[in-house]
Amino acid sequence: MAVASAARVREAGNVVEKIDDGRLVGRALAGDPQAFESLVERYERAVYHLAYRMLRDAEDARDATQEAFFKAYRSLRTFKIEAKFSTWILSIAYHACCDRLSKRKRFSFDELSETADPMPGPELLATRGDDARRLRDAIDALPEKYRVVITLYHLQDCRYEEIAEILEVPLGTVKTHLFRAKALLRRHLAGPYAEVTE
Amino acid sequence: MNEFDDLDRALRALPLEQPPPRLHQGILAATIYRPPLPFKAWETWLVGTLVALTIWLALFFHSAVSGERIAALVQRGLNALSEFALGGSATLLWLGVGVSIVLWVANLDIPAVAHSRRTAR
Repeated sequence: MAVASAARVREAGNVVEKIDDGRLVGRALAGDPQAFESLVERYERAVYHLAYRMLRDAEDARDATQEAFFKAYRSLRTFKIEAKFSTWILSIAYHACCDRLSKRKRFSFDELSETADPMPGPELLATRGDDARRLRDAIDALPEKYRVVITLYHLQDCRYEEIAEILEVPLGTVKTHLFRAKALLRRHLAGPYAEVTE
Repeated sequence: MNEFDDLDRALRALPLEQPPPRLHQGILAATIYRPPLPFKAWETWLVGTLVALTIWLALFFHSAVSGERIAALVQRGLNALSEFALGGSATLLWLGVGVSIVLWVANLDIPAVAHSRRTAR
């Protein structure tokens, strides 16, 4: 499971070397810039994916990703070698996105709206054929707190504990949010999408 | 895609967002290729503290003591120095010895033996 998770998060990295993250952090701390570059290669796409799903703006997502890696680099000494780097960097990225969203004055984990964003209209749906696009649109239409959980669930391959650690919420909250997110997704995907495309 | 298992499968198959082309270079430029700061953190703090202290002292004197009083204080300090310190022959002797040593050291020509030995190895 852990291998699958790591593989999922590193999907786009084209990483061939098998050095574990802890050792790379150690080498980066010892002054090896290539080690940190390897970590960036492994996780930049996952971090960007989370930022993009949270912020829904490419420019903001890029800035948040850079900010997350900058903060991680600056506080690399505080990283516990026994911890998972993916959880740590995603947690930093999550908080960077929260800061940006709160600056937009429309985000607070406890005060998030329960209502979903409106789904795209039938004309737009008709132009979106593939399943991946439909699913992505459905995720985008979720309320923010569910969208974050489902994105992390996707990135971390079902590891609830890690999602709870990243979001700093109880495990039960993660499970509840995930259940509701999936129910909403299922409803959305079986709704107007199915009628239009099937 | 109505079942949770199907949904899980679809979620896992969903490709990650494609990052913008120059994101990687941007991250590296902000981290490992970031030029080092001209001062170390403790040096910045020290200079900042000293500057703050100087400003505070200047403001304190400006508000607490008028300009004439400052001049009077300085004059009184100089008088005390000339009366009690520079007036004594022993003080003048040691001052002379100190100045002579400084001049002698400043004009001393030390051959660069150590350096040439190191480079010869």
